[in-house]
Amino acid sequence: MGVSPGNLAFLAVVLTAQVLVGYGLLDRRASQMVLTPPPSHEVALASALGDGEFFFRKGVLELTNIGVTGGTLVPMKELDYADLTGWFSLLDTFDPRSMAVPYLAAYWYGFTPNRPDSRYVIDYLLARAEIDPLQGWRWRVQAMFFAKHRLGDLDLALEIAENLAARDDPEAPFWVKHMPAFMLEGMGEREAALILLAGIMESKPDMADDERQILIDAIERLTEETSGETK
Amino acid sequence: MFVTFRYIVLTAVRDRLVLGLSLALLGAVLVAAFLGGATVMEGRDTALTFAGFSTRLILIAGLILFVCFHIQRSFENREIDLMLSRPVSRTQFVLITWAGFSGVAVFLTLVAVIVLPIAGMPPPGALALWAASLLMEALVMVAAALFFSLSLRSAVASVMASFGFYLVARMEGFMLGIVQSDWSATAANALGDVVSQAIYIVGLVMPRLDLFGQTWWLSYGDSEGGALVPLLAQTGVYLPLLLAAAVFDFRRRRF
Repeated sequence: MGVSPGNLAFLAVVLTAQVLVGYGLLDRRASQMVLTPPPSHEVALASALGDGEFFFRKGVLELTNIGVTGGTLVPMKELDYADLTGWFSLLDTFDPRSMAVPYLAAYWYGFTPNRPDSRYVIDYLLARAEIDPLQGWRWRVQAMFFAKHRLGDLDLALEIAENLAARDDPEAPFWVKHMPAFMLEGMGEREAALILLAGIMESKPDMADDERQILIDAIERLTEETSGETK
Repeated sequence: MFVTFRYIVLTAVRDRLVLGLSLALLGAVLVAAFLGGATVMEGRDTALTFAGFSTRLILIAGLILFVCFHIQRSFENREIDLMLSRPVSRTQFVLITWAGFSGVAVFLTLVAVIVLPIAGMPPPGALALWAASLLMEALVMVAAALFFSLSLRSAVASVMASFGFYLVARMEGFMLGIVQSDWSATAANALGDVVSQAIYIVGLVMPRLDLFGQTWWLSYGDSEGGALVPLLAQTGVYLPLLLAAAVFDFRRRRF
């Protein structure tokens, strides 16, 4: 038995119908990533079939692209920072050795235009510093910066700076001892950020290339903004 | 007996299982490498994690499907009757059949180990640890799929049972976490004592496959030490249990 013209005609009709349906559905988004409250540790582990590291890496990838997928753009200021930092803390429990989450918090989400939200990031960075004996000083420095320049809470910034100066973090550079004085200076936000970022880069000559690139990008962005304002 | 072993391996080649799964493993690793490249930082770790996770799922799913449909076809074609007409006991038949499927699993694990470094080079020893763990997981699942397919006959039923078994075994940590957590009293209230006890019993009977094939080994190596010991113990106990159950059930079957 061969293929009859009727078969071919029917195939052509349903194929055309599918193209039309597909065309009609082009505008429908396949998925829209929404920032949901974080699940419990157990549920997260189950969703990754017991592989916590997979949940962690998938979570970092999703947090990196949140608000810019599914054909929509959700501004950073519209994100729920309680949920966002809840995700940061949850992900840290799966891989406390990775620097990806504090990097996202310190060099991306911390710069939210909705400045009161930076309080959530400060709390997260300080909590992360407690479980990170080697790099904890960096997250404290960043939390201190956000406290003074994003939140405008000089008392909190000084408290963090004094705590930072009083600690003997083995990996911390000598200049963290001067942080209380640095906080009391009437320095502009971008100038202070540039000094801190450059200081972090100089104090870690063995920094991985991708980490260094993130800091260079941040410095370039701040420099461009500063020169743009001067003009 | 070697004939049966060779027959299963040849079937895997003839059905293009080896070629198909090898290509699927390669594709998964390439996609993982792409995703790793799309991350802002720690791209190698991300790629290795995605590659490790996806290769494990592909390998296990492929082996389950192959075992279940191969056994069903052997029943339908009366190949099993033919094999049992030769001087081979039913126990020997089950063991050599498992060995044949395991040979396929060993080969596909080797393929996974060869293609995985495309996503990134793991620390020394990490790849060997992950591969050993993956192989043990595959051997356990081959035995489980063999048990279900010999017992249930229907390929669809045995595939569903095998996947269900795998899911529950990989979610053991989650279920035990619920009944052992700080809020276990609340969980007990919500689930009821009977369900909580049932979860404990399931935890005692099911293998802890959630401890196998942890992809963080690929990023950091066995930094905590002794990762292989519980896996060897679990495999050493559960593999004979599944094979014994398969033999027990197969010996009771009438042809």
